[in-house]
Amino acid sequence: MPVLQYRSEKNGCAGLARAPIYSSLRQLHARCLKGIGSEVDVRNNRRDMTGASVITANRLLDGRIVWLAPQGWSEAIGQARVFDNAAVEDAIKQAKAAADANTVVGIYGVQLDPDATQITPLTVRERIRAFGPTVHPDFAPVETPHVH
Amino acid sequence: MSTDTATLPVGRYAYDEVDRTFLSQRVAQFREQVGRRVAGELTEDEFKPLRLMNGLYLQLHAYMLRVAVPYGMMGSDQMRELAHIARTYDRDYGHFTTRQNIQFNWIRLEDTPDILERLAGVNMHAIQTSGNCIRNVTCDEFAGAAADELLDPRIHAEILRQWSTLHPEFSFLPRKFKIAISGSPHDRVAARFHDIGLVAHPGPDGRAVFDVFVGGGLGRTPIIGVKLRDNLPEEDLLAYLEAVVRVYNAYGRRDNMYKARIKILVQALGVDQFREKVDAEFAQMNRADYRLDPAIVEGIRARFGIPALDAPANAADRLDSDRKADARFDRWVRTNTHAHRHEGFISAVVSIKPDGGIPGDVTADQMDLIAALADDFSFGEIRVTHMQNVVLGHVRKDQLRDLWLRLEGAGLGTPNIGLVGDIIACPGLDYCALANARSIPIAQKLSARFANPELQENIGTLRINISGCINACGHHHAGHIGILGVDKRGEEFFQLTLGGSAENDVAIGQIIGPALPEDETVDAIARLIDTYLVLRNEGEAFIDTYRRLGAASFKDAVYAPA
Ligand code: SF4
Repeated sequence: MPVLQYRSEKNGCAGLARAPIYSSLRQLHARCLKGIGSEVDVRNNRRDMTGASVITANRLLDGRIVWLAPQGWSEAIGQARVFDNAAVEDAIKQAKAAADANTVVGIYGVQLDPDATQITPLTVRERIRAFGPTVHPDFAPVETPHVH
Repeated sequence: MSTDTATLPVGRYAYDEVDRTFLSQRVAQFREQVGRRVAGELTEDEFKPLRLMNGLYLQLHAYMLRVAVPYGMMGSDQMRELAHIARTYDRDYGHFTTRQNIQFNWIRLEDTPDILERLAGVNMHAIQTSGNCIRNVTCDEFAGAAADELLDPRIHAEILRQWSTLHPEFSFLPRKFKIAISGSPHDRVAARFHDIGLVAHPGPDGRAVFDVFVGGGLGRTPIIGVKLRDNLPEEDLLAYLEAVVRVYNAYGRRDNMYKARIKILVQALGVDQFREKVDAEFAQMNRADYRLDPAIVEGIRARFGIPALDAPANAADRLDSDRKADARFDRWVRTNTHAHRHEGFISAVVSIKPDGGIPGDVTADQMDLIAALADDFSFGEIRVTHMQNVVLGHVRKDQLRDLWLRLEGAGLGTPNIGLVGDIIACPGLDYCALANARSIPIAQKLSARFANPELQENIGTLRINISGCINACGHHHAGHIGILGVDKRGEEFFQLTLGGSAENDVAIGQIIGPALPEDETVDAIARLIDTYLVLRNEGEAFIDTYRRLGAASFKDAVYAPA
């Protein structure tokens, strides 16, 4: 093995696949990848027995946050369909199985604040997702009825 | 300004055909992978590791692209390209990270292959900015310039980059793996808070030798790295590091990601047993194959541009008189410069921490300005620091005031390096999918509250570090005052640690008491600082007073009724 194998002809993207050690590592692949880049934390999908929730995800193509609306996914939480917490697990399952499920990633439920007059998530995290970074009010999602 | 070797970029390695071919292959490969994902041929579970290997994370609001800045060095051409990307594909800004990289927060998946192609056009990429591989190697921001430096560590940093890029054995380690390298006796790279920290100095024959630290890190379990060996000869550098990473790869835990870093392995085995295993691996390796021949090192060194350090004989006198004539400039020179090895030059630190601003955020226009200033004053060379600032390494002393005037004009002349306003903060809950709490607003409130430059200088050296969760990207345990965001039933709280340091006096900050609600945190820190001002002895910095008196003297101030 040359000392700077990066410079060897065997290397490069095509070369790497030919490197003998790589094939054995591939078997480890699934196991090893488990810890990589955990982006959705289970904590975010927890909710009380009672109350109401909405369903959210990120759009595949541009990563933007979307909310499950009566027809498709909307960028505006105000358009979201509100589920009773007793029914939200089934609704999440259905959303994951739906025809357009591949246009979004990371579908999960978001508990709502029962005291708020408008659709408002209970946790700071989900309020920031719904209304934009607090340090950039100019980046708040525009509450237009943009359902697709 | 001219350079000795006009075609080579100053301070960084010039790519050759091998590097360029590799990058273009890599972009084509990712373009195809994105196409397959969009066409539904790859599931998200299959695609995620592929995009992460190209620096593309899915964060709170959108995709985030983390671009590698190898050992923190870049050129004005590269900075201009980053500005273009910010303008065209993002929301007009980027964010410098504590790993000397830059992140874009509003990237679209469908644009990413084009962005990577543009980056490849200026010899940049996003490889080794994610995943369980050897990450981008970090380095002293004053490398090759500092008066106190014994050896320029960037040559060996580049060798480590080439050794580790796509290393077939080390692409799926138990966890990510971070290496820092310094060539100065003053630790500016937090060598003992890295998986491997290397401190280089010249050996008896003039070639580099390395002191090797292993098993340091912050995160959930902060641990100070231990010395694995002294005076590792240059020719054995790669063999020995390979042996260390092999031992980690073989014995590191893969069953629990919170116990998977090398620091946990070193603690579990004990440093002696860990060293025995490394030595055994090292002994059975074919060292001839791994020998880092001086010819290889010199070949890499020859691809680094060297600045022509010609300054007029009166450059230092001119700086002295400029300082005497302008108190504000004098203050900035006191706080924002670093001594250069050449008497006619000085290194300037551009603070990316304006009063009340977002630490590390820089607009596209500011990037273009920094690029122009680098061309005009520092051989086109730019360094990103682990403190989320920018350094122009080689500025002629007689031109320093001109540089400062242009920085001032653009709001980049804040005189706060190493002071209260120079806060390290991770993106926190405003951007990060893993966060518990927001880091940036706390940083903004503190920096606005202590904006007065006289007050900041009076308070003196004070490192404040903020992390939005236990992953500790803001290095809170290494801060003199560390602030950690915690989540209590969906609301933000902040835990304070005191007494940390990442420098030669390395220490892990200790928790002072229960976490504080968000709206009480800034006041509590202000009381803490007031208490220090009352208790300090002549000449003491915050950390000295804390070490002399202990936490008890500060606890009452933090938890005083509002
Ligand atoms: S410390 Fe936590 S919140 Fe901050 S950037 Fe790292 S993972 Fe995100």
